[in-house]
Amino acid sequence: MTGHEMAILLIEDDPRDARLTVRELQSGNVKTRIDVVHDGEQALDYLFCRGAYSERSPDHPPQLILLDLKLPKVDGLQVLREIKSRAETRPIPVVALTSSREEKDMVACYQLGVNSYIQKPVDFEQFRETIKTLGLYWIKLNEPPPEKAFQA
Amino acid sequence: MRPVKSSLEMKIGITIVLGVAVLIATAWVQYRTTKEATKAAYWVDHTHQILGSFTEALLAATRSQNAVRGYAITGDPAVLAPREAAISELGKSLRRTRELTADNPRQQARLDTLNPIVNQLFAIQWEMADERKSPGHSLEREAILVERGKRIADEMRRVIDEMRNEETQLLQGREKRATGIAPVVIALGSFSVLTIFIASGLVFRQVRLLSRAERQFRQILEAAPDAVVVINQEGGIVLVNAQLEKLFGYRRDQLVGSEIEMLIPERFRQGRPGHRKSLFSGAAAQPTGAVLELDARRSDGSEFPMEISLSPLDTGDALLISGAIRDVTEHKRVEEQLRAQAAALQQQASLLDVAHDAIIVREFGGEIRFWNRGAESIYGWSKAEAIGQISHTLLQTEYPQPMSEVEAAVRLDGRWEGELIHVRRDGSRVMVASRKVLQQDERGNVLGILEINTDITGRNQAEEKFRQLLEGAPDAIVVFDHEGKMVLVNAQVERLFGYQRDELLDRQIEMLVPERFRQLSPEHPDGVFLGPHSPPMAASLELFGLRRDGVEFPVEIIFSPLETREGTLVSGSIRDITQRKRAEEEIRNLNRGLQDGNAELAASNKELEAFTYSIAHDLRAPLRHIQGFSKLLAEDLRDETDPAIREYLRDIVGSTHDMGRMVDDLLALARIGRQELTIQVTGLNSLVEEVLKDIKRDIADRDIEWKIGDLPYLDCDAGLLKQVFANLLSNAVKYTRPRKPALIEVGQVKGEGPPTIFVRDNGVGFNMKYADKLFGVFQRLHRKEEFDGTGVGLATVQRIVQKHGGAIWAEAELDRGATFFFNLAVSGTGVDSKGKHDRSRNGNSVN
Repeated sequence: MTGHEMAILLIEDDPRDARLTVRELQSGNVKTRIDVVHDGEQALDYLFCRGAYSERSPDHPPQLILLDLKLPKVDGLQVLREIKSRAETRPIPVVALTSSREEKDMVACYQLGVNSYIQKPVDFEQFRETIKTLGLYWIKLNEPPPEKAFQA
Repeated sequence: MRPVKSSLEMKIGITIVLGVAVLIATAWVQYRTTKEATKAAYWVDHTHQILGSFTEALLAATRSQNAVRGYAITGDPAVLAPREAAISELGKSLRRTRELTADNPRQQARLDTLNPIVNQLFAIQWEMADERKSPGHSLEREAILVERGKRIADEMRRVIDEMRNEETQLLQGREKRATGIAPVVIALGSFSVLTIFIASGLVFRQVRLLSRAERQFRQILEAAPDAVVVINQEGGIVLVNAQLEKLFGYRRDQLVGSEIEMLIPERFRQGRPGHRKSLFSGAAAQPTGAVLELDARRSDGSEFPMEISLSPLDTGDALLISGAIRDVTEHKRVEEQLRAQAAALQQQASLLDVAHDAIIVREFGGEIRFWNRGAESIYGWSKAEAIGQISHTLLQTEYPQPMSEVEAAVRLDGRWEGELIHVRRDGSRVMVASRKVLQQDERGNVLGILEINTDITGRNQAEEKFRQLLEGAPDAIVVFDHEGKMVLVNAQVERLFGYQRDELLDRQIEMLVPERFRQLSPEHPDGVFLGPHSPPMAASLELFGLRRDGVEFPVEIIFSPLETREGTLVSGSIRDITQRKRAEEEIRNLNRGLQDGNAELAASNKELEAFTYSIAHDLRAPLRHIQGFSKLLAEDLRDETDPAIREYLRDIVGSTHDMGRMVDDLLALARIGRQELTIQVTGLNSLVEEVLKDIKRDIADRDIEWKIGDLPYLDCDAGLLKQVFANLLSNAVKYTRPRKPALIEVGQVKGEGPPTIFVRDNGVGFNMKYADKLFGVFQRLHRKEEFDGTGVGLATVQRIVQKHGGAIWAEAELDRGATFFFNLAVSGTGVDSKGKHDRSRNGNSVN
């Protein structure tokens, strides 16, 4: 880890879900910056520092990616495929955070190398609990991949 | 020679008396006397000659008859030879008689009548022989001939008797006259010696004349083909011929002087002398004698049947009887044979009577000679009524062609066949199939016509019915023979194929099918129809028919064999199946449409499920948002906020919570519908254990008595079955809350059929009248305040059970608990087989 500020990338097309997620992560004492993009294309631009994110340094990959599967333009599974097929992004933990409980989605995600698959509960209290637990685990407990992990 | 001698003595006596008379006659009448005596002697001689020739004539007639009879029996023309001799002898005798009686016009007139009678007699003899010999020998007819012969013979005898009487009277007259002269002769003593001398000379001459007659008679006897015996009235044998010696094995000297009885067996001799009188002389007393049949006995004691023709033999001074004896052994044998044949014929005739057909024999003129019982029953005329009638008059025959042509055909071809219409006795008409056969004897002489008539009125009626049936049949029917030649078609064939009947009959059946089906190659699958013209019977063939205008149309043909008198025919029932084909095509199209529709339905079901899922899914996010922001709002409210506002916020959160659960349950239900089963053998007890472990965690405060029975192992999706138990058991727990203790039982119903599992509780139960709502989505039988729930749980259970091909039902009573029963289809019956195949792949079941 360098002295650079770490970030979490939240890929969520629903701004309300995004706001609730961000709020619950932050209320769970996650101090990490949370970048939010609203579609797959933005997400890929962000990750590969292109388009609107061409100014971003590729040397600072996000510490965690929270990925909704239903996305406009490029869908979540495609985004996941791109992430996991490239050396510079493959080590980044990706948590699929989705309202889908479809088996085929789960199967596809795991086959593409997703690191975790979490279903967004309908109930807000359960949702809040889930997000808190998620933040605790992935931000606080989990050691992010070392820099060397990104060297192919 | 006694009779001849005695007659001679008598004659000599007469002559001596005559001589004495002459001696006594006076001299003055000497000349006259001499002349008178000479004349008398001449006439006596004359008369005797005439009488002799009568006897000869009668003998000849008898011989002729015997010869003819012999020919009838033996058929040997050689036997006829004596007849020719007899005929010529008879002719000679008659001629001689004519000469001898030239001075007597009455006798001449009688001879004139005798000639044709004799000819008739010969003719009738011949006819009788013919009748006897003919194969159709009729006893009745023979009797008629015999009767006629007898009449002719009687006539002949009558004429001869007249002539004989005349001669006898003449003789007596002459003798009287000679006797009348005697006193004169006595008176004329002086001339007596001379007269005696003359008389002696006359006597001598007479004796000489008589001996000549006797010789002639002997010669005739010896020449006769028959054995001849001449007896006197006392039965003593006076004369036999060589044939008799041969026949009986006696020598002549043994016979002559003996009794006739030695020639017949003992048993015929009883009471003989009296009997003999009646037998021989009695028979012989008839003017022309009689013919007797009795057994004869040879010298060696052997016997044989004989026929003896007895004739009186008037020698003038004594009645003798001549008997012509014939060995009729052969005759008897033939007669026996004829009798047997007649019996056989009788039997055959009775067989003919058994026949239902009318069997008639008639002459060419039409006179009916034979009429069997069949004819009686067909025509109503009895045999007695019909015989002798003219058949075409009696039956009013309607011929299909002129009667003369029919008779000519019978004469030329020997037979004729055809159908006739006859009229019965009651006036009704009868149609007969008639066969007429020419009847001939061995020599080819036409005897008549044998006619066999079969009543075909009924047959024609049956044929008419058959024809009507055929015409009325809805199908086209064509009957063809083994060569494929059409012999019968009905109107439907004409209509269907567009031909006229006469364009089809006698033509080949092939003309009704298109060229390509006419191939005779047996390999041609449809060619079987035409191959050997023995198509498969009772099987229906579908091929094409060919109309006259060249248009083809689909037909169905069923062949069946038709046994007829002409042999086995084939009847083909042809149905135009254009309509059916069209209907079949429509049905096929409909089916295709239905299949498409089914696929569409399946697709839209899937869409609907996907839609339900996506609705439920998409509802979740806004729900969460409402809930989330409401909560956040509530948290951020300052303490002094109106409590009512907090209440509203709580209601919002509660409602969204309920809605969230409903959406989740709906999602679960929708997922079950979309999910494929993963079938494996699962022990239900272990499933129940797992479920109970989860449930018991949450109900520590409850007093529940669990009773878990032995449950079976079933082929099922374990994950889904677990959900079934989870839902049912949690329901049981929920609805037994007021019970302390609650009793919850899980077990298997004993009985036939697939294993049925039950879950019973002693909870609040429900009213059975709402039982039908039990398994509906969002259906609840209790108020929410009483028992929480979304109303999807039992719908989910039912969905799972149904997906396993099983059934679920419930029995309950309000406040007395409820029992839920369910079963799953046994392995392989209703279970989704796709799931089975996926078993290995889908080890990880979804839930």
